[in-house]
Parts: sequence; structure tokens; C-alpha cells
Amino acid sequence: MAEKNKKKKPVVGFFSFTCCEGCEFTVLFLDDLMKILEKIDLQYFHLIKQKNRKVKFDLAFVEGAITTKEEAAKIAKIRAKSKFLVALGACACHGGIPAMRNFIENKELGKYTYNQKMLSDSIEAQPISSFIKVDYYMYGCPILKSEFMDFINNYLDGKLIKEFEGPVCNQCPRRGVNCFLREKKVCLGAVTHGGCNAACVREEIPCIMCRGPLENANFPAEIALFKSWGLDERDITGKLGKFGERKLTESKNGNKTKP
Amino acid sequence: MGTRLNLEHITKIEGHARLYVKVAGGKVEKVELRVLEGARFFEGILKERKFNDLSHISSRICGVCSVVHTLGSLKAIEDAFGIKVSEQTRKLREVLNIGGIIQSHILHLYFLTLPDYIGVGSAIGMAKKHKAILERALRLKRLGNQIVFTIAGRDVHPIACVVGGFSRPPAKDKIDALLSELKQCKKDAVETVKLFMSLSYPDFSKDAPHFALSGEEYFYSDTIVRCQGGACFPTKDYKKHFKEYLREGSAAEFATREGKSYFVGAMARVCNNTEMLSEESKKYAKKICENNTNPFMNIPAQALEVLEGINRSIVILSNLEIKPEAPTEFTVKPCSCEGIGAVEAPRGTLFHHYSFDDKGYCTAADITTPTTQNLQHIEEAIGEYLQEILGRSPDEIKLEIEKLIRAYDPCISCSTHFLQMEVEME
Repeated sequence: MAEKNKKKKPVVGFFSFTCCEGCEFTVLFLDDLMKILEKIDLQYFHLIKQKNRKVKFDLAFVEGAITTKEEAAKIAKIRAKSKFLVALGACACHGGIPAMRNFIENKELGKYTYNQKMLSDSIEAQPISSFIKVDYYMYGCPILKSEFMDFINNYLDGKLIKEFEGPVCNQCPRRGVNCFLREKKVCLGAVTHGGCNAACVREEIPCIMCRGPLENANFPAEIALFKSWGLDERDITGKLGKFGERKLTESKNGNKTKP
Repeated sequence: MGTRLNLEHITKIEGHARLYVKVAGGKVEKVELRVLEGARFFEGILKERKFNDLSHISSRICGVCSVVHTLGSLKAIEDAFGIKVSEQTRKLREVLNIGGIIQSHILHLYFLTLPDYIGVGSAIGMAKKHKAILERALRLKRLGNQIVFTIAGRDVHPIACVVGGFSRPPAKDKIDALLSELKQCKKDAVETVKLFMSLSYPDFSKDAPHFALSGEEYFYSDTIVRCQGGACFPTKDYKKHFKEYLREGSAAEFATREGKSYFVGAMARVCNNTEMLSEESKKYAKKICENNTNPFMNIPAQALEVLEGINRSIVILSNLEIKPEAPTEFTVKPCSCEGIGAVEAPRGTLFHHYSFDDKGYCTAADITTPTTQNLQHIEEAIGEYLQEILGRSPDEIKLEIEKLIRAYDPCISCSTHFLQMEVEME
């Protein structure tokens, strides 16, 4: 315990927007959770703490997509109070599954909710980077425990790690051997942020892009390939749109970036 | 004019919502759970998606119930397309569901609930005074994760679950390692039951019918919905009995039966399906079920399920010779039809109901979560309990109401997010 701990512990907060909270749960599921908690001054973590304070944070972790005007205002305040901010998981990094609602017309959305006020407050579901500067992107749905540990241990030593560069294929055991694409199975590893050690492929499951699309991902080529296999528009939207809603919409609109 | 007492966020539950309470002339006049969140419209986004994308999307309804949403989704698809899974898949899914239930129960019991009863603000506070308890909690938490990881390849948002079975059978050495861990944790589970049976829970009673799936296995039944006292109806008729409605001002759905509240969850399972429990568990069940109008008894019921789950997993895995099986996902013949997937989730019965066109695209999705079904009951119970404790200090009232809400282990991510608790008092 902290008897004469002269070094000040970093003040840390966990914040959650529209999502499934699976990234916060992944943090709670860490084997070394208690060891980390001893080394930080946790001031905000709604999921497990009774008393939460919005102070100045050395390190803020933010999960979830921004889907309402209220959330947009809140994320700006958190940014202003935080020295270093990490986007935690697919929703915060790229919009994730919540962004799939952007495929639905607004009038159609009305059918799924009785609350018209809520609908008027809602905006297009977007990643947090649409509103604020992000210092580190921790990809994945959910995040990887190993990456979180690597990040936090280095941070506590005063160092920062870099995001993995390149696609999932770079760590894939099937690469050049028995690639799923050769079997005409929709695998999105080539357009997806790597770093996961191609975990799904190792479980015999083609990549579903849960770590989000690479900046230079060639969606038009992917779409053309899948169309040549006979996949139709709806199927492609489902496959590429689960974790790549923005990129998919951009490529459909001829790379026109959204405001 | 009434005095307004603003209570801060309801913490330590999954998700966020707002509770509005109005008290006038010493009487609780209004209790309203307003669940306000940036809605994710899951039933809308599942529409138009191909059958083999649905479980990946549904899993993301909730980070702590991802296992059971995956299973519910797959079962609805299989029911629609007439796919029968192998005995091995059934058994492995049962253990997987147990893993998901242990993950969720242990978090709820030790990290969200126990601090209230031993006077610490959070699990972090337990590290100093209650180290042995915390270490036990951490071992059981790791066990839950290990079960899910071994069978499904990842402990949140399962990977290896596909339509018709698994993408690959779990490796034998990993199953053996899991089995030995299960046996080692048995002692911890017994201690857990004893601890949560010994806590002093508020004396409060709120009667309502309790429902749980029944018919096959304790943790993996789906043919009938069983009511307290033994009355049953077939699962496929669930919509005739459970009616969902949306309430103005709230993004959450509420469900009722014949216009009245009902209860689903660990306590309903333990007491409706007592005879399905192991002999060891039955001893403890008796004490819980004698008192099952008290929602707080849902807490020891969850503890009991941790023990039962470990026992059941040991039995299944010790007798399972795992063979390779080809998954059926790539040979599915879609049809214009519909299907229901029902599973006992950590918090109670979960239903996924999908309709498809003949190309295998979802044309309608309807998901009824346990928390949706319990919300009405929670709301009524808050009103009645508050009336009983009105004389206490505001701080005490707040803690007691939060404890009551947490006893149900509501998952607002599932039904949707709590913002704050507002009490208007005269």
C-alpha cells in the first residue's frame, strides 16, 4: 500500500458514451486489475465507484460513440480537463456498431422510439475524434487486454507506446497459405487495423474488422471483389458497415468526407 | 411547493438512467424510471442484415451479457432455418452460458453489491480491509473469463460461436486446464454462497409472479416458460403473455404480463426450477425460496448459481469427449420464415425473435431483455420500499434505494443508459 509514496499517482478517469460498455468490462476483467488500481488515483469510473469527481485528469479513457448533442458537449469538457486522452475501443475510435444506425433514415428511426425529444437531441453517430483531439487510439471491439496492459505499464513508467501499424494480415497464420479470400469467405483482415495477432482467424473465423478500417483501406476494391462473388449491396453493407460505417459511406459517396 | 432533493448518479450498475421520485404529504406520489440514452436502435440496425452478421451485432448490445446475446441470436436463426445443433454443441453452449453467468454474477456480487454491505465505497476499498475476500473474487472472475475464453475464443464478444455450432472445437488441453481450474475454484464458490447468505438484507416484500425457462437443463432450457408454482406455457407463445410497451420520455421498453409487473432473474430460476439443482445447491435454495418475495434475495440466489454453475460445468466437461465438427454456417438454406431464441441470461430470460426473407436477410427483429421485463417491478418496488423508509435521513434513503435497484442487477446497456436520481420531497 501507499505508505510513503512520494511520487504522485496519475489522476485517471474512465468515461462512457453510447456503447455496450464492453471495453470498461474488459478493463474490469484484467487479471492485474488491482495492481493497476494501486498505482493510479482513480477519480472517475461510474461503473464501479460510488463517488466520482470531475477533476483535472492526467489520463482519460473514453469509450463509446457520440450520438447526441449532450454527449458532444460532454466530451469537449472531458477533453478540456484531460492531459492525455485515449479513445477506448471501436465505438470511440470509429463509431463502431452504434454508427450502424446512420444507415437508417431518420423517419425510419422514429418507428423504433417513442421518445421524440430524444430523437431531436440525437445527431449522426460519430467517433469522438469528430469532436476532439485523441492522443492514442486503442482499437478493437472490445479492446485487447494485452494492449491495455502494455499501454498503462509504459505510461506509468513515463513512456508512450505506438499504435500497431499495418493490417491484420501482417500477423495472420493463413497469409499466403490458405487465405480465407481464396475460399471466397468474406475476411476483412486486409483493410483492418492489425495488432490483434489475427485472433479470430486463429479461431477459424474470418476477420470482421472489429479493430476498424485502416486509413488507407481500399474499400472500393473490397466491394468489387465481394460483388464478383455474388454478394449483393445489403450483404456488403452489413459486412463492411459493422465497424466501417464512415469509410463505407465515404466510398459510396465517392470519398466525400462528412462534415 | 415540494423540496427538491437532488441525488447524484446511480452508480455501480450497468449503464445510466434517471430515477424521478415525488413525495408529498409523507406519501410517495410518483416513481418513474426514465431511461435516457443515445439510443442505438438495435432492432432497426439488425433489419436488412444477413443472418450470419446478426450474432456479431447482437453481441454488442451489452459488454457484460455478450455471451447470452450471441447465444440468443444464434438460436433464433437456427430456429427459423430449422437447424438442429449437435449434442456436443448444446453441451458446450451450456458451459459457455454458465461462464457468462459467472462473469456477470461475480462482478455484480463482489464489485457492485458487496461494498454496500461491508461499508466501503467500492471494490478498491476492499483491498485494504478485506483482502482475502477480494482475492477470492478475483479468482472467480478469472474463472468466468477462462470458461468463456476457452469455449468462445474471447472473454467479451465471443468469436467462435457460429450458426449451427462452433467454428472449431475447443482444444483438449485447454478444456483440461479449465476443468482443473473449475475444481480448484469450487471451494471459493462455497465460500461465496456462505458469505452472501450471511449478509443482512433489508426486510422488504414485493409480490409478483416469477418466470424462468425450464424443460431441459438448469442453465440451458428453452422449450417452456415456467411460472412460480409450476404453471407453464410454451416459449413460442411468449409474446401472448409478455407485452412490451414504450413509455413517453424514455428510450427503454417496459414489459408487463396481464398489465402487471413480473420478475425474471436468478431468484426466479432458483425457486421455479429448484428440483433441477444439484443436491448441494438445494440445501441453500430452500432458505432463499422461503423468502422469495424479497427482491434482495436475488443476491444470494446469484451466489448460489455460481456454485451450481461450477458443479454443472465439472459434470459436463468431465463426460465430454470433444470431436471435430463441421460448422453449418456456410451451408445454411435460408427461407422466408421466423424464429425465436430464448436463453436464461445472468439477469433473467432473454428472447430474440427474428423474421427472414428467402435470401436470409432479417426483415424484422424483436429483442426482449431481462431488464426490460424487470423495470416495471423495480419501479413499483422503489415506491413501496421508499414509503417504508421515508423517515430516515436523505443519505440513508439514497443508499437504500440504490441497494434495492442493484439487487435486481439491472443492465441498462441492455434496455438502454441511468443519468441521475431526482427526488422531490415535501
